[in-house]
Amino acid sequence: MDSPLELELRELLAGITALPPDFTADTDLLDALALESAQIMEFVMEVEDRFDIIIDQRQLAEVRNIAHLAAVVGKAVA
Amino acid sequence: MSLLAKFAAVEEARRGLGEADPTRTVIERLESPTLGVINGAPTILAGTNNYLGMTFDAQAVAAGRDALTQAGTGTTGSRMANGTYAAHVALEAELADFYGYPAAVVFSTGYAANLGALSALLGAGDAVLLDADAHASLFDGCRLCPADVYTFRHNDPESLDKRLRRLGARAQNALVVVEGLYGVLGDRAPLADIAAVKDRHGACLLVDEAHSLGVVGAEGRGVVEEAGIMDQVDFVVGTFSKSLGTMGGFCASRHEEVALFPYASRPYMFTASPSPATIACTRAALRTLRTRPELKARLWRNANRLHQGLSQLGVDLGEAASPVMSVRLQRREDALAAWNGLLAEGVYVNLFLPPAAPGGGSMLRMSVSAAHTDDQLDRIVAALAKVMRALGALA
Repeated sequence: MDSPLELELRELLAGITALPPDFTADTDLLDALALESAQIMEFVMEVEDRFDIIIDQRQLAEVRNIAHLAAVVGKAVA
Repeated sequence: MSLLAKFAAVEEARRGLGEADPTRTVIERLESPTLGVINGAPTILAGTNNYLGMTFDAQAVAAGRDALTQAGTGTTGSRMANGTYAAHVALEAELADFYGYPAAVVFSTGYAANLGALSALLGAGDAVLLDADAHASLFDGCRLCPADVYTFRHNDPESLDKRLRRLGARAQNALVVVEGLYGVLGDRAPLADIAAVKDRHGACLLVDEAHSLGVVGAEGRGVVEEAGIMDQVDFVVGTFSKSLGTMGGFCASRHEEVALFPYASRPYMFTASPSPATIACTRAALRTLRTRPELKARLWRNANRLHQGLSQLGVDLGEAASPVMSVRLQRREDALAAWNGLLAEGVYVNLFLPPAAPGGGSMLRMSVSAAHTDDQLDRIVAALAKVMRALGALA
């Protein structure tokens, strides 16, 4: 079951690209979605503005899925 | 062979470009700044960034020839060792004088200038905020640094303001990085607004004028001059390889500390300095840029003529005329076919395929030169009309 934060991030991502029906918080973003770098940047800026935070690109290097991103966002808003 | 396995995907992508791979175009001979021979055929060059047509400037060619004879083919060393000649130092003084700043530093390429300036400036604990559409060399420069890297929305001072606010006190250790004139769409940064935002937060501003040196501003100092922020911008970087028609790059600044960049910049230290001929050509081209404003006027006249012609075709084009402008096509295969069609019609432009094109889609980028003739500009428009109609992309 995805957390409320993960669901919110998933909603933002759906505004950037179409998500497959079986998409979950653990789906690998790069392998499953083939996101282009510009889309990733746009998604990150959407997330930053939604939560009024700022995310260092190096923090994103280890983010592979929504669950990972939720951990980064959760830490930033705490 | 696992190390090389990744190249199978590269080869597959390359094959997808077809027989006429746009990344391997060979210009067999040059007749002028705007006419070359490609595939054995005379071809109008409309994708060169040769904005002032300076590559055949008589004074630059003569200066380069003299330097080659008098100082040899290369320096064989870094600026930090044996690679600083009197001409390198003179060019730095001339660039500083051009901008009205206390100092400037010359790098071996424009790419190295961006890497060198950013890596000198940004340390651990610092922050850098990049415009999302900034050139790859600016992103690469940030990768060399231990600073935290953030992006803000393209040409959006409000997006920048929000992010600087979120940094809090760290904003005073932040560098904002933008381009003056963006090299794909040809749009200008709203520099007065961006400078006001960075001043409000106590940050610094670096502007890459690669596409606007000699092209924008009353004296050709770029968008920083046009926007009236010469005394607000902290660092100006640029390249010699576009409007000056040579090779190399620079960073100029109102801060005297720029003269210390060489001691903190690996891209400056660990590469050979520009050759004597390159420096001589650049100095002569800079003198031409400063003394022949009619070249800039001619460039803008030509840009307006091409923009008007393209606009009348009804193609998807930016609203304002610019020395660099792009026609957007939604389908990748249409863009590839159009690029090949233009080449068959004797017109060379640049092709941008996803993910290289800002905003998605594909683009045909055209750069205008002061050296283009009216006939050449009209033939570019006619050729594009023909290939776009063949694709069913025009009425």
